Amino acid sequence: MTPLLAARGLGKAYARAGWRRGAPRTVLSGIDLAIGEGECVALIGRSGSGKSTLARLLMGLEDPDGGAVLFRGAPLAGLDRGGAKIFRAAVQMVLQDPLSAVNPRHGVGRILAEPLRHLTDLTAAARQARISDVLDAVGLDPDAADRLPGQLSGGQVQRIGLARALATRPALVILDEAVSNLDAPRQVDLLDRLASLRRQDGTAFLLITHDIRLARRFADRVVVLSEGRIVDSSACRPGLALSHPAARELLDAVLPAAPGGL
Amino acid sequence: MIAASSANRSGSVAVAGALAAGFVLLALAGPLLAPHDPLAVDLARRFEAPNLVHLLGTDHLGRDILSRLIVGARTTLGSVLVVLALVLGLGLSVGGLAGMVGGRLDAGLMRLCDVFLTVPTFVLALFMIGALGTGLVNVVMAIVLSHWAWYARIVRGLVLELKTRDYVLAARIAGAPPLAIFVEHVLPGVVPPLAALATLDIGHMALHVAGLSFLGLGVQPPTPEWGVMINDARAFFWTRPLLVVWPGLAIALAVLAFNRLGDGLRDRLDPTLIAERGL
Amino acid sequence: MSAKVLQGKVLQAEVLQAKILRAEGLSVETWRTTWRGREPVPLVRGVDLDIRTGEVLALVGASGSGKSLACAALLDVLPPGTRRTGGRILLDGAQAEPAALRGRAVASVLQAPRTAFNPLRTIGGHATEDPGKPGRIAMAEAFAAVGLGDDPRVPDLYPFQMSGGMLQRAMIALALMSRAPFLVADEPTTDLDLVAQARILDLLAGLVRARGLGLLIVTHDLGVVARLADRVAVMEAGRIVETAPAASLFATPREPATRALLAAHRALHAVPAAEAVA
Repeated sequence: MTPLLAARGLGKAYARAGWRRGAPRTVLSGIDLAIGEGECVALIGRSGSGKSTLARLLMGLEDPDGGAVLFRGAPLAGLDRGGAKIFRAAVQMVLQDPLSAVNPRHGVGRILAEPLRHLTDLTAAARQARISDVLDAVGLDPDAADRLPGQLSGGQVQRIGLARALATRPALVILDEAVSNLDAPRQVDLLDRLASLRRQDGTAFLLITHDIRLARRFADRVVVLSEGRIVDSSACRPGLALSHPAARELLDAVLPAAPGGL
Repeated sequence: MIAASSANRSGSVAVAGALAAGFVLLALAGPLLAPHDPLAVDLARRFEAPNLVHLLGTDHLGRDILSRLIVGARTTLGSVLVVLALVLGLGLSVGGLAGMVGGRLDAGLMRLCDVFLTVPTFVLALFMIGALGTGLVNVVMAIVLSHWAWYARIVRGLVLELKTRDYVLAARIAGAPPLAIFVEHVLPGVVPPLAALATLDIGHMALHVAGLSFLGLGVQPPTPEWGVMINDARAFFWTRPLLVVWPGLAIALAVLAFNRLGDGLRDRLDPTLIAERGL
Repeated sequence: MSAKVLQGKVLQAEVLQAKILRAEGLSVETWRTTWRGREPVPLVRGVDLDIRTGEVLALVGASGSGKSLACAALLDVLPPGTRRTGGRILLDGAQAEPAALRGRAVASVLQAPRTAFNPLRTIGGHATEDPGKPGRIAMAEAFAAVGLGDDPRVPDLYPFQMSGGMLQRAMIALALMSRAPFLVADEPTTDLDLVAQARILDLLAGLVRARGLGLLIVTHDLGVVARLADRVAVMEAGRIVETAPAASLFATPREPATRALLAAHRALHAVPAAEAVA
């Protein structure tokens, strides 16, 4: 079966900053990755391993220097206008910092309507109905649509970010460290919400994180990124089987659950 | 102590705002408010001192000075508003385009701005008037040409800064095309600081219009205009100094009022200052 | 003149020997403007903390519980828009000014190391105002203690040339150079990935053991508490609701707030039964 989203030999290098332009710094090279319909993949790695760059390439927000991103078998670079619109609606992303990811001048209703206006052909009334639906899906009151982000709590803004990504009924949602920096109760709440969305709608997820606990709890499969390459991968069940030193390092870094290593 | 000084400052901004509003009202409704015809010559009543009929007196042709000042507000401030509209339009479109598109277009447009920024207003005005002849339209064009590049650069800087915001990235993910991103997410962040700057510039531009008209390059007599009025009165400066004082006072007051209002707006709208004030 | 200097020296020596740093009744409030005028909004209410040398006290709580503000009040570095409305600081039972203790009795390590350094100065430039030999020896010693001693180029690096983990080490080295007996660390590992976090926590644990530091660590992660803390204070809505030795807090939590934090923490750690690591 054609995967939902796939990377084939993806590479990316950035020019070095400064007066003397040295050789470009390679951030990603030879990335092969496939995400199936409804699948939940965790991409783990340390900071600087190239995770966020890979997310931007998969989203088509930047162009790769080598290789290609395939959406249901079709290269992103070859999509026409209509195809690009379908791709955008089908693959969405939740950004790391929820508060800075929403325009402070826009009300919640307008924030959630944005993807619907640009990516769907819904009428204004249908958009309103869909906004109420996604607010409900993330556990917020429909009244929240009239608020400004500044009037909401951090946890509520986090859910607005998720609701916006879900508005177009995407087939895949990429979460770029969107869970890692929350406190534990919020992490659990968010992961539970995502799990129930998966059950209901069969949405696929790509969870990008440095915390192997989150990956283990939520994903079907873990892929380890180190220094711009995929170095290891494993199914999450029955148990993680990772052997690469970079993966071991991430596993060993998990803090004990209780004092004295109990 | 701090509270008192900030109350003082907001008080002076309110006074400046009221004055500026008054000037704008004069410019809009001038001919309706003027007690006399500003062009009516009455040689029998030359150089009258301020009296009940002519509140500010009459000039060397017996024309009512108050009426000329009121109607002149329209010429001076009206041309400033035209200048501002053109400058803001050019600045926003060139700066916005350079900032949003970037790359070679950005580099090209910014070098163009540099060229315009190197020529001082008066030199450019003299050149234009030399080539195209005197008149208010040429004065307006000269001021626009020498100011728009400055605004374009500021707009570009603001756009480049706003473009890196996460919510702009989120808008791209939501499928918003560049024009929609500019209008919905970038422009609302550009307008407040730009409005403050433009207000600060009103006084400065009024000085340019009046100054060029004073030199005889802009508005031609007998059209009432503050700079022209000063020029007319120049010959009688030693015998009738009040003739120079009235339009001079009008210019000074307008410049002060719009500057103070601009300062107030900037304090109010500058996000870094808002952050400093805390909650 | 010379007597004053001497007194200062004695005071300094006493400060360096201090055993207990105690905060009593710390209160912080902000205010909101309503149509009736300014209304105070309490953020931290009567927080007591005891930091003892050779021991790690963890201050935990969910986001918005006021733990970072309590810590800022202790150091007298409250953000604009908030003010301390009560409480006092005692050093070995003697009342002291927080501003006078900062950098002498109490050193601090902040959450975002990148913003805490001047980007235009090298790390060595931050470490010593005194370029003479004693200054350099002290610096080399501190850098060695935080694991930055192996690379002789480190003092000449600028902050942008270093990773987040290295910067946090450098910040701890600067804290050590003050030779203060107490160290306050506000979420010192939140901006780091887990690997860098584990190393910084190892480093802090080692320093507490080797140098007998008294460490106050503010965190939202009970994993950090489990790794490091001897005693734990749990905050909720500006108050400390429970203080207990770490082991008994994990074994028998008393307060609902503590139980909620623990439940979420355990849910994240829940591992499928047959965890097989090759």
